[in-house]
Amino acid sequence: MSEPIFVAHLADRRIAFAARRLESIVEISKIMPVPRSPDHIEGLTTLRSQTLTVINCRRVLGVEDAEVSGDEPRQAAVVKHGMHQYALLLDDVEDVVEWDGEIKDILGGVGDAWERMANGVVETEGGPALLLNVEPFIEVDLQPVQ
Amino acid sequence: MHHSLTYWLGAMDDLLSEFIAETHEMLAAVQEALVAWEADPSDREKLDVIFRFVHTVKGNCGFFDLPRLAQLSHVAESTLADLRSGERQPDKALIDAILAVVDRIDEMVSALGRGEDLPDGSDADLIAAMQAEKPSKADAKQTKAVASAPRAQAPDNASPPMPAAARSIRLPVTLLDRVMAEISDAVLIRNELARHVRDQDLDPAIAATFDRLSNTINELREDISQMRMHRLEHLYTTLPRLVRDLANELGKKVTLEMEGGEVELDREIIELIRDPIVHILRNALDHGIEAPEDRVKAGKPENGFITIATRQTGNRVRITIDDDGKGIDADRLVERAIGAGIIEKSDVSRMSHADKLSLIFEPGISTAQQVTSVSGRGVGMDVVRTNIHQLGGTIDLTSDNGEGACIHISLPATLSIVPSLTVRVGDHRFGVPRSYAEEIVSARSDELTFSKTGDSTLVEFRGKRLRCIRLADALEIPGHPIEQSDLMVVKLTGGDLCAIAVDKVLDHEDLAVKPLAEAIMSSNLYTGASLLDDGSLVLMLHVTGIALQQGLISETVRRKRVYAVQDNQEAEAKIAIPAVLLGTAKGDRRLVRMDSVTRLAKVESEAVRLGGTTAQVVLDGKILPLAGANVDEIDDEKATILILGDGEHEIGYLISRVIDTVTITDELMPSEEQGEVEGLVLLEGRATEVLDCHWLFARHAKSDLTKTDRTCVLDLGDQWTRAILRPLVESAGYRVLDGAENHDEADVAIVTAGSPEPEVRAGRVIKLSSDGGQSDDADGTVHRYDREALLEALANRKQVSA
Repeated sequence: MSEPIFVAHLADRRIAFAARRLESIVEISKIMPVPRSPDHIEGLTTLRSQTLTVINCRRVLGVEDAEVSGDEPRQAAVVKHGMHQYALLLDDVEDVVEWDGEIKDILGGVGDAWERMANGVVETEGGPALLLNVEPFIEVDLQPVQ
Repeated sequence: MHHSLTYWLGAMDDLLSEFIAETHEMLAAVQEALVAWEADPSDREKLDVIFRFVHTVKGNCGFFDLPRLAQLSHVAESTLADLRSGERQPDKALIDAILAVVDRIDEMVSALGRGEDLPDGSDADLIAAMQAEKPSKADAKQTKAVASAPRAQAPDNASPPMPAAARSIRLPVTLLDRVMAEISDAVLIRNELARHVRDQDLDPAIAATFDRLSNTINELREDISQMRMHRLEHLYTTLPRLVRDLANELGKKVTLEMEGGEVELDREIIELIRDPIVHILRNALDHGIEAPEDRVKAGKPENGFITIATRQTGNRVRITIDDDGKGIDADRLVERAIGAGIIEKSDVSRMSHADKLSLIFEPGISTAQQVTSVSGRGVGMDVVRTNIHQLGGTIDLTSDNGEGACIHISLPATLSIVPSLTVRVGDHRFGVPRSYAEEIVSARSDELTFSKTGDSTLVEFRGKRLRCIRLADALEIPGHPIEQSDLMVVKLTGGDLCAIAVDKVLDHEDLAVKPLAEAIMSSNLYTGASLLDDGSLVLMLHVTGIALQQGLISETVRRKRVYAVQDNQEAEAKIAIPAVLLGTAKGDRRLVRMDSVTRLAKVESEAVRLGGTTAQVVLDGKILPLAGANVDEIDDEKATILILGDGEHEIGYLISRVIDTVTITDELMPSEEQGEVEGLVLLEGRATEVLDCHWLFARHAKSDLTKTDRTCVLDLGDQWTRAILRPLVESAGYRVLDGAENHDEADVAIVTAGSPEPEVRAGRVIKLSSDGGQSDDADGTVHRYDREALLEALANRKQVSA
């Protein structure tokens, strides 16, 4: 059984999401910061009159921010979760490719943060990629704000 | 074959859910009819409504296999048929039985609605109760029954004609909600498109088409918003039954009056205010309305009254729940609040009556002497207030000990659109619900003085010291220093004021607020976000949440935020005019300056003469000119009169009720025309007319009626004198004394020419003649129908007749 997956780059790694989990891939140019929101929340943006919560995936992984200038559009994968839509910020996007459904174990050395996110390693034409779940990026353990 | 069976079963399901929905709808109307019928069993119309309901249920049961429901409704139908034909007379037991039957039908149909089977059980109790009377009278009626047998078969027994139902269809609420969400999106997309259209040089034809599309979308949105609206009636029809049952349980007599059921509210809001209103009614019944014997002792009618009045003003709906019970004991509330640690003894002296009353909304306060099964189940007015605040509404209460209580609820008519202010701090823009903001002042003006105590900043405002916080601090973002900010004075839950400093208050806007992701909402700083017309986002501030975090309200609400400034009463007097907000006899809201008000009086409506300029009221043996009485009749047995005084004169002003005492803080906009109204001020965002007392006195007190208590002796044994002369004399400002009684002295005596002089020592005597038709100045004789001359004679004090 084959399934389309979406391949992208995040914090110097090749990653993939199951394409059926994604609404769309977009370029975000304006992000409105939300004061005193959790660290991994970059802010809010609008897409076709819908409000999206923008998630900085690097921070969820505990990786340093990528260098971005303020105006430069940023790539993101749009995910619907519960009642809301989220934009997961990515460093770069590749393409949607067919995947044969085979998952290999992660061979270690990727770090705990990645392992929490990943299902395993998938082989694509361009090389291996970490197949990630979207939920851990959204359901980040919330530190209660005082 | 199989297909058609499934089809048939599906159709049955549809039919059944239709039956359940229809029954529920009828139940609401029946509840109201039941209470009215109980109050007046001869009310044939109400009886018909109940009969029709039972008849319909019985008829519908035939389609479905519901023998228990069928049997119960059958017996009830027969009983009601007997009542309608006069075969039986309703008594309390029978009425209770019928009420119980309707309840049981409700239970069973509700169970069906939840997809459950009908609960096991027997209805023998109810059937027996309905038939209880029959055996004893059966014998006596035997012959009659035979005789009337053919009549019983006659169409009289059939269902009376149903009123033609408006054409309507039922829709699931979820579908409505979806349509509503979609149209909101369409509006936003339209706005986005509108921006693109503006930015480009478009073919005028395309621009015109776009405009048409845009208008259609607007109309669509309005119509769809209407679809979500529901008449409050749907809630109100269930209340008389509730009140009736509770009153019975408590052994009290109460009449519930409701008006304004035609006002429409978002159906979601109606669902959400059901519990608060029921709770308030329970409270009023349990703690407010006294037992009949206590009411009689207090000089009140045995029967208590609860009134629910509903008004729509703009985008808000006001519900007033008024009872004439014993009112709320403010001192008891204070005691409890001290006991519960909510306030300290030292706070009490600074608290106004309204402050004390509003303690009832604090958690853990209940004035009930004992917890009863009706109210006081641990859910208090604090929960009611929280629920109403969550809807963007407000609740407050007025009460005088012994005089009943009045609860005012103000609600937004729709949930989705929030009238808001937009504000700027640094690079951020935020929305604040308009309902919070009391006033906006610029801190840049010299009039404001700030002071520091400990960590908190206080600002002196209208003679009060308010806690002041910077929104920038609360949100940990850069912003202007307090002295270069705009201050929003906001009213917090509990009625306390505080000031929030923002860089700038930008604009009024109606914002469609949508909730945000949990990760953002959990900070308790925002209620959602809204798209502005220019496509940018604003965050809606959660004012209460911010106030909590900033320690403006602590969990155990301590009222120390507002510090009365004792040494600055002058400043307060300069800006703040205490006033009475009243409802006129015609139902308008008007303000009158407190200084002009002497007192409030209730008089028998008979003591009031209505009319434009000649209206009067007899009060404590005096006649006062009455303003505001340009109405046809007074609805109540008692008329409420506000007595106004200018130090010398007094005049009455007929009102329907006093709504509140308020402080006018706004500048008065003088009205252009001379008249009863001096001008307009803004009160709670509404332009409210202020009575011109000077004009009122100039007009109504012109004949110096009340300065002296002038008396006139008349022969009240005479019919003409009583019916015709007396009102004229009274309208001229005299108190009438009966000539038959012994009076030492009077200003004027009026006698019929030829009859003996009165024994009273009158200042002067006016003689009335009934012949000729001309008055004769020479001997002080006035013809009895020479109105002008008579009035002149009464008014002219110097003329002394021999």
